[in-house]
Amino acid sequence: MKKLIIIMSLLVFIVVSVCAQPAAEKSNSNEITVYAYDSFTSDWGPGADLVAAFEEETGAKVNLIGYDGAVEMLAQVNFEGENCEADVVLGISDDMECDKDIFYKWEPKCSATLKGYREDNPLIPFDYGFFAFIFNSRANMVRPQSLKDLTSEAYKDQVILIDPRTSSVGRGLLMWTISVFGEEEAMTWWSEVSDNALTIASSWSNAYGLFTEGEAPLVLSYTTSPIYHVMYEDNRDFVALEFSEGHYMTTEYMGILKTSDNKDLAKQFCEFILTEGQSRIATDNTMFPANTETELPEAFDYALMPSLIVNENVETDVSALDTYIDLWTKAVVR
Amino acid sequence: MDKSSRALKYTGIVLYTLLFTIPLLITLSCTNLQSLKESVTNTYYLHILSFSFKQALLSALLSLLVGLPGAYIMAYRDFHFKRPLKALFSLPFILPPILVVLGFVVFYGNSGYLNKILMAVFGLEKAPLKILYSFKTVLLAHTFYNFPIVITLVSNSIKKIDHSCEEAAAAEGASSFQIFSRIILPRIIPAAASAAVIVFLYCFTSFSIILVLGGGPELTTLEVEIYRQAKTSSNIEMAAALSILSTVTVLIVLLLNSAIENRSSVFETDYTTVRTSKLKFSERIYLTASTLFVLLPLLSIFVKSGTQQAWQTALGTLESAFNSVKVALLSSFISTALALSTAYLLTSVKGKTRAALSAYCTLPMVTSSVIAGLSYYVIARRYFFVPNAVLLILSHAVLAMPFCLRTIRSMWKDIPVELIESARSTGASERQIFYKIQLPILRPAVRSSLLFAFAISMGELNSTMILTSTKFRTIPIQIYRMVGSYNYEGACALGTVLCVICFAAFALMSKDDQN
Repeated sequence: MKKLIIIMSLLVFIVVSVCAQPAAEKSNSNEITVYAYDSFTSDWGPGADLVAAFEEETGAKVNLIGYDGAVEMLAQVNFEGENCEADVVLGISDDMECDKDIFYKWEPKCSATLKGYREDNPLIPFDYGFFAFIFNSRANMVRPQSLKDLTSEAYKDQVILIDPRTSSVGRGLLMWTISVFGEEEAMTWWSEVSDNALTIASSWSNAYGLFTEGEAPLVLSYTTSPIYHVMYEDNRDFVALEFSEGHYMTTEYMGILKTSDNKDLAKQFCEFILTEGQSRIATDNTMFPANTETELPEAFDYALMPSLIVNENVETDVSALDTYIDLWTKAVVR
Repeated sequence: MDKSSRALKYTGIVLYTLLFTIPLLITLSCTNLQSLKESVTNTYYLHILSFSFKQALLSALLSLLVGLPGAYIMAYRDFHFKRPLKALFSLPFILPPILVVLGFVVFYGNSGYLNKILMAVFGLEKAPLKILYSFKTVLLAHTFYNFPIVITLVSNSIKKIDHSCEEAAAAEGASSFQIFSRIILPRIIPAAASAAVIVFLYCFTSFSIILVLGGGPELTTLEVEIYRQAKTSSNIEMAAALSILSTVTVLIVLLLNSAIENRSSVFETDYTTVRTSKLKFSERIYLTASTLFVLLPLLSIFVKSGTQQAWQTALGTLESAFNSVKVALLSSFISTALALSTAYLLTSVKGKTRAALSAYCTLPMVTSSVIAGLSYYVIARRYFFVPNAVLLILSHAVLAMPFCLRTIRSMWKDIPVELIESARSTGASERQIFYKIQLPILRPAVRSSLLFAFAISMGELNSTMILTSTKFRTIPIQIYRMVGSYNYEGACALGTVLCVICFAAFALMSKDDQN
């Protein structure tokens, strides 16, 4: 009997501790929860440092929660709906289908100097960049000069691609190829290039990890990616390749959810990201900061500013995305 | 019958229906005609179906090819280390797939131990074995995981065959080749076929191995696609349609299998024992090679975890270990309680009702665990919000329930009927009989059931991947994420923890068996 009582009380204790967890967090008024993608929240990302600096400055507490990718993050936000724990959702890119009605509309103080800011959009841009292939110059091969080159026999098993269904970077390449080649020819390109792919990774961090491990010398990323290796590893082996067809620009946004019960602190956090946080975003998220007044670190000399941008001033038509992805899956499996 | 015993009898089956069948039916009915039609006409989904089928078929054949000699040896030969080898070959039954993948990547991967050794020995600059991310890898990993299952299942059924025939043939002067090809082989075939079916089903519903080693739309199984549709595309209709497709395929294969099993049961007797003989040289080589094939990847998990940094990262994720243990404790209690009550019901019914009820309770094994996870995801998403931790506990409990039921039922059958009858004749109520007689006798089975369910929950990744939030992580989830971000050392440290917990549960369980 004694045993039974011990077991029962143990179970009750566990039940209480399991169920009590979610409830405990929303109660504190000086606390916000931020959802972001994993390369923002991971060790090498800017998340941890930014949060620490913000917490020190304001005395508030920020729960930073990372997701495998921005697509999964948004799915989770939709899944949680009214009960969403997040106050701020960070890392939504312009090529993602996203219900803007769930976000609270506000205007940051520095809106005038924010590249990509639009009054009618509740999502606030915090950085931008250009998709590019990064090349490991230690690899013993000719550098590809264009998207078209990547389909050549010479790059068999040398390219790491990213799945547009799960990753916004993968989506970026899909949109890039469609803007360059048009729908039909883009799919031909994909079915040719997928033969050269070592793998189609599910997320950017997965793909980039494979690349830095030396599994393949070419990976899809941003023109700014080499900066990280220059700044933190003094390594100049990795270079962004400028392609003759031009490059595709992407902007990353953050938004405050309407369901947030601490919008003031959430705004404060966003303002922080847009001002003091911008140089950290530049160096650790290795993207161009959206606030044009940010002074860029020296390493940005290694960032490639493409001479031809294929989608400048063109608003991405996300409504066609489903059709594109459908075509894409058919093109890569055959 | 008194009220309390009725409650005891039906609580299990009612809760099981509420927790498993109803969410599943609701989820499957979320689909629509268009998605159903698309799932069998769209070239992409057809590709996934044919890939799932093709890789499962080839994996089953390869596992047979590698495992059958082992089954023969384990049944007909006697040697030292037979017991530990037997234990080694039954490992896949309890080893979580995520550990298999981890060991596989750490040992056979492009920068794994095998490649490093080969590079050092032959003075190479590049890794000679490039096996990740290809069809071959998937087959190799599945064979690695499943050939021990072939050995265990087939050697067990060889032992059950009546062996007097062989002896008679030998006495009549038949050569050993004749005995093998005319008598032994025809009898192994049905056993091999049903082992192949089991391996086929494991591979057909393979999830974590594909998720880590496959990658890309080319190498995707139905289960992975269901996960992706639900979790990233938020297309529940399609996920449900694919779930139906997967479940129907599994059911068809199972029906075919039961036809085979009915035919093979002709041979089964229990009384004769195999006459064993000493190992031949070639058999020694086979055993050594297959042992290394299984053991080295697992050992490399331990070796790789032997750094300070590995344990530092593992300590950083200590919360996941607590979460895992909490979920496993609670779910094992729930599933064992469900199984006890259902077993009670099964004893009180007979014939076709019993057969139908037991089949009904093995359903979680038929629908894959990804689908079980999906059904809770849909309920929580569409109808009412339930904290992730609770969803995890319930889904693990339901998934472990068939195993618990089997464990408890097998012992319940051995309770002497006279004992119950005599208790009844002295006027004991059904309730008293259960608590005073049956439960104490069943105690070892209850313990085994708890441990089994605990081990299943600790290693569960499939339904967990769908249900978990970033905030509530378990050990397998953490390992999966560390593997994804190339933190192999940390993953191995956590893997070691998981391994030790699963082995401890397994060891306690086999101790019970011996008693």
